[in-house]
Amino acid sequence: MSAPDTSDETGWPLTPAERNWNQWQLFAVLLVTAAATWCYIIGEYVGYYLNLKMGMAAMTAGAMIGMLMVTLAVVPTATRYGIDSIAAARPQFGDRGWIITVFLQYASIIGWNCLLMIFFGKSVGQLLVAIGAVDPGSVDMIVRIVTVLACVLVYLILMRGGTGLERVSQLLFFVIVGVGIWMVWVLLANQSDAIAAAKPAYASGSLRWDYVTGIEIGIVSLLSWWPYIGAMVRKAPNAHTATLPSMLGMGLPVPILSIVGLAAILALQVSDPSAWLITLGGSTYGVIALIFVIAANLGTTLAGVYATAVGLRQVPALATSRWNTLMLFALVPVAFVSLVVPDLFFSNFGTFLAFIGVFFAPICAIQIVDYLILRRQRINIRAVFVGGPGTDYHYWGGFNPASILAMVAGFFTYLYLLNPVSYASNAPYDFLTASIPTAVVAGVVYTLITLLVVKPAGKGGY
Amino acid sequence: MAQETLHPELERRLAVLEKPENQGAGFGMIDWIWLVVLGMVGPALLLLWGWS
Repeated sequence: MSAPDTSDETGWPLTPAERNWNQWQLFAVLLVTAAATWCYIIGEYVGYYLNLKMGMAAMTAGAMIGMLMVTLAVVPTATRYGIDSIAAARPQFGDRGWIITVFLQYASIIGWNCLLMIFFGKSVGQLLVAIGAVDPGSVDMIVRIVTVLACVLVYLILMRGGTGLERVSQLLFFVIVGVGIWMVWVLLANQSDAIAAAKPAYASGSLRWDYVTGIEIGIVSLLSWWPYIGAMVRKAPNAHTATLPSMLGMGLPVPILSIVGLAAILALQVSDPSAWLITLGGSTYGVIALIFVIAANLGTTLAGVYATAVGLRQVPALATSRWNTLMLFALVPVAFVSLVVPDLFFSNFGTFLAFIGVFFAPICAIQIVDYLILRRQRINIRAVFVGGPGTDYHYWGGFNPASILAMVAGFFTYLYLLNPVSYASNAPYDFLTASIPTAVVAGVVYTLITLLVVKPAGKGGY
Repeated sequence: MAQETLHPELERRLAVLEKPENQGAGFGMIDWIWLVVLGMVGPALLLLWGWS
């Protein structure tokens, strides 16, 4: 057996002595993770359908509902046993079926990191053009170079593991909060009349459909935190320490920062602050915006790569890999996509969001009903890490049919309610959203199959 | 149970965490109140305000 990396990079459960983050430390890390420039794109999408007041209400309400689902799904298990989101899902998915969650975590975080890194590269390019340092024809090349350099920087910082993440987050916290508040003030002080008079560009004609779509965008945006949150809250000693940091530190920054994107798209028809701040205040404002983009995206990308590396550690083939190697698995695809197809994720952001809802709403529901209700908040921590025939979470061949069928039911429920590609919808989407019914259906299917098939068969360690 | 050779450090961690006194406590009453307020009541009020 090779020597393991330091404790929080192994993917093994953290002992009480290692779970020493207080509420403030966790709050700072979660806020820095949540506060990224995807908020502007989220706000932009909501601004296509709703005015400022309705957009703020729908986005914030949806975000907090989504954050509640993620918190209930992950925080109790992660903080009781010091494990990440992936390990926390093994009792529900089985000692082979949990690979589904690894894949989803990997795909979603790679997607988000591509979005953030390319956004960062574009911001640098726009600023350099604005100050006359380069000509517009060079922007595409600058995007690629800057993105790869950012990936290298993330790699170097995370060579320190969770310690590097926590220390950088403490510093970035003040930059993100301070500049974020300043940007809201600049926008409202200069464009309040334009914002008040603005009409959503793509309103459907049904105000209720537009409102529900704003809520749905808020929910699925926060469901994105499922893969991230476990790797961080497991550093807290108990669920109480993580509750408010989770809801307020990770849940609230997204809708608040998204207001910037919402107001900007309504008033100025562009959500990227690196673009509209140059319009309002010249290159000095542009530099400040760029500092914000760097700080916000760096923190989130760090957290994403860290969570991915911890999750990949659970894959048997990678169990003994070095920490640095795991980080490459998380970063190389980002660098590759950013080099080859940098516009892909920008042009398909809505579909990517719906993809998050399709898969993570059922996962959250499955974990909530299983851990909080069916298992009464206890799992066999040994069986999470020791699989095989005869163990609690081996089920049938390593797969739990209850979770697989619940995922399938949730998948088709979502597709029926809201087409992720065309955004065509069916009733009762315009009353209930797509994510909430999807979660309910998945939770009910999981519960029924568990009670009628799995428990009577003596499987699952219930 | 399957016979599997565990890394000694993982074995040590599992032995520690199998004892209930080493496991973190779950949500308390105050936590549940915060969750309901921030995740259900607050969003409902916000939606009513936005629609009005």
